[in-house]
Amino acid sequence: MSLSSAAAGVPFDAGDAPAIDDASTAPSAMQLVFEACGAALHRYFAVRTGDMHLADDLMQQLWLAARGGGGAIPATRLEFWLRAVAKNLLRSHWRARRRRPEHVPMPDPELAVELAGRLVAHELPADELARREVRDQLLLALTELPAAEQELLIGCYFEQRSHAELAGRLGISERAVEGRLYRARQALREQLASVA
Amino acid sequence: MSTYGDKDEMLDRNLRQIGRALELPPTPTAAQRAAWTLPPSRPLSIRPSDAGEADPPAPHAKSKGKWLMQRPRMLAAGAVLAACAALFAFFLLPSGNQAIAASTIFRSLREAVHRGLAVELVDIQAEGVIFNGRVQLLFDQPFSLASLDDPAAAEPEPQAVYAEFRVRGDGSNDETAGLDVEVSAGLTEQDKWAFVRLSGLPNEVMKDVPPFVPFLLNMTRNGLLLDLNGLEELESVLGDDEADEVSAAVSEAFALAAGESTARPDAGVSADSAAPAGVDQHPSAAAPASADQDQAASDEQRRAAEIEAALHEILSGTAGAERIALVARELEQLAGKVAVNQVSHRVWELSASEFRVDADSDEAAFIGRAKLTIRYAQGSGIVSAELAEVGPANGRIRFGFIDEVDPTLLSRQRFIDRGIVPIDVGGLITMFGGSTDDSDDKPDPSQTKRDKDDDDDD
Repeated sequence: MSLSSAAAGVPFDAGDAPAIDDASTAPSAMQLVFEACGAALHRYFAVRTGDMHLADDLMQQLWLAARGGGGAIPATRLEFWLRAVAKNLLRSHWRARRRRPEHVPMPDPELAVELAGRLVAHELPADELARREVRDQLLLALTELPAAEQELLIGCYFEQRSHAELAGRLGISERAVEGRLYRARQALREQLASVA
Repeated sequence: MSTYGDKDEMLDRNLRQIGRALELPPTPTAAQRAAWTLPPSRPLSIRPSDAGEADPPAPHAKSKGKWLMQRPRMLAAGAVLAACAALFAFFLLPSGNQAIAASTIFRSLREAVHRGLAVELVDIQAEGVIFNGRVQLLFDQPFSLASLDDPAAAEPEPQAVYAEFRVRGDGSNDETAGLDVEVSAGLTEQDKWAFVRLSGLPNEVMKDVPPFVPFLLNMTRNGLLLDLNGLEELESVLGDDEADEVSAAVSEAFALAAGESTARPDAGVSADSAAPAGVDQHPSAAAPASADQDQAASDEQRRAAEIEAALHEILSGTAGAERIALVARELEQLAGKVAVNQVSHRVWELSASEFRVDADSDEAAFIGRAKLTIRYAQGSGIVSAELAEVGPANGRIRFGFIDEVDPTLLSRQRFIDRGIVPIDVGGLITMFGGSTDDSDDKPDPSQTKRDKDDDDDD
C-alpha cells in the first residue's frame, strides 16, 4: 500500500503492514497506519471535543507520541495502540482543563444499551434521531470502531455508496463487501451495548 | 429477507436513516493531514480564538503530578530545571580528577525510578499572601520520567498523599490583610482526613459578613478535623474533574504561590464559560481585539510551543543539535550565570541564577533574584532541585523524589491527641438526606451528564 492510497482514506488492513521491528521499514509502518487511520482518529477527537482545531492539535500530539513510542508494537496492534494513546491524550487534555464544555457528548450507558436493542427491533422514528442524546451515543459508538469498519459504515450509510462502488474501492467482491458490512453493523451494535 | 436475518435487516434500515439524519465531522483536508505530521520544529496550530484564552497550555499527555504541571509558573520553573539538566547532558562536567558525563545526569533524570514526589514551599510571597506548604505524593508503583513520557505506559495511581499549607495575608493590601488559614490533609486507602483551621478572614471580607460568621470562626480557631472516609474512593477525592474541594484547595494554594489570580474556579457543574469554539463556530467569528495583540500572542504562543516541543524532545532523547542549541539560547536568555560544582564526594550541584526578566514585570519580583540548584549524586541520580530567593520574602521551592511518605504526617493522631474530635463528613451528608454514593444517581436522559464520574468516558 502506498502512502498516497493510505492518505486517500482507503480502508487499511493492518495485517498487510510490514513488521514493525523490521529496521528498514519500521518508521513507514507506523506512518502507514497513522495515515490510514488518520481520518478515523481525527473523527474520534472531533466528536469528543466538538472542536476541529483541537482535534488537529491532538492529532499532532498523537503523531509525536507515535514517533517516540510504539517501537515494539506488532504491526497488527498499531491501530489499537494509537487508539489507547489517543484516549490517554484526551483524558489528559480534560484534566488539564479541569472541566469539559457542556456541548461535548458524554457516554450514556442506559441510553446506549436501549438504543442497541431498539435498532434491531423496530424502525426508529425521525424525531428520535433528532434528539441530540441519541445522535451523541451513535457518534460515540461509531468513532470507537476500528478505522476499517468505520470507513465502511460511513461509505455505505453516510455517503450512500453502493456495494459495487465500495467493492471497487476496496478491491474486493460485492459479496465480501456485504459480509464486511454485516460484521461492521454488528460491531456498532455491540459497541453501543457495551458502553460503560 | 436479509441474508443475515430480520434483525440485521432492521439494523440496516435504521442505519440508512441515521446516515441521512446524522452529520459527521468534516473529513480532514490534505493540508490538515499534512499538518498532523509536521516536523517538531514547526509550531502546532495557533488559532486566533485562542489568543488571550485563560487556560494554560495543556501539558504533555500525562497527568501525573498535576498540581505542579497545571501551574504555568511552576511549569516554567520545571522547564528551567529540565533545560539546565538537559543542557549539561551534552557537555562534560570537569570536577577535579573525575569527570561526570552530563549525559549521565540527563539519563538519571529520565530513568531514575522512584515511588513519589515531594514539594516544599517556604515563604512564597505573592498576590498579598505568604504561602508555606508541602506536598508528599506516593504512587502505588515506581515511576520514572521515561514512563511519564510514554502515553501508553500504565499510569501509576496515587497511594498516599500528605499536604499541608498555611496562607497568611502579608498586610500589603486590604483584600488579604487578616487572612490566616491552615489546612492539612492525609489521604490513603485506609484513612482520609483533613484538618482545617481558619484563624482569620481578610478584614475586607469580615466587614460584610452576617453576625454569625465571627461566631463560626471562633469555633474553627482550634481547627476542625474532618473524617473523609465516608466519601468516595481516593481517586475521586484526590483528582476528579468536578467538585474536589481538597485538591481544589491545594491547587488554589499553589496558584497563590505561583502568583496567579486567587479567583476560585467555578465550583458548579454548569458549562465552562471559556468553552472552546464548537464544531459549528468558525474560529474567525471570535475576532481578536487588535491585529497587533493577536500577532504578539501568536508569536508568544509559537515561541512557547517551540520551546515545549524542544524540551519534550530533549527529555525523550530525540533532540538533535539544533534543538539543544535552541534550549541553550533560551537558557542563556533566562539565566545570566550557570555553573556546576562538586560539593562533596560523588555529589555535584548545578546552579543557575541572575535570571533575565523584564524589570517591570511580575516575574521580576518573583524570580528575578532566584537561584536554581539541582543536586546530583553519582549512583543515585538527580536527588533534589531547589529554587531559592523567590519572591519578596526570599522564599524557597524545593522539589525532590521520595520513596515513602512520613507515616506520622499521614496519621491524624496528633490532632486527636490535642483533643480535636473528628467530624464524620460522610455521616453528616447522609444525615441531611444526601448520598455519598454515585450509584444512587439516576441519570435523566433529558439532562446533561456533567456531574457523573467520567474518567473512563470511552
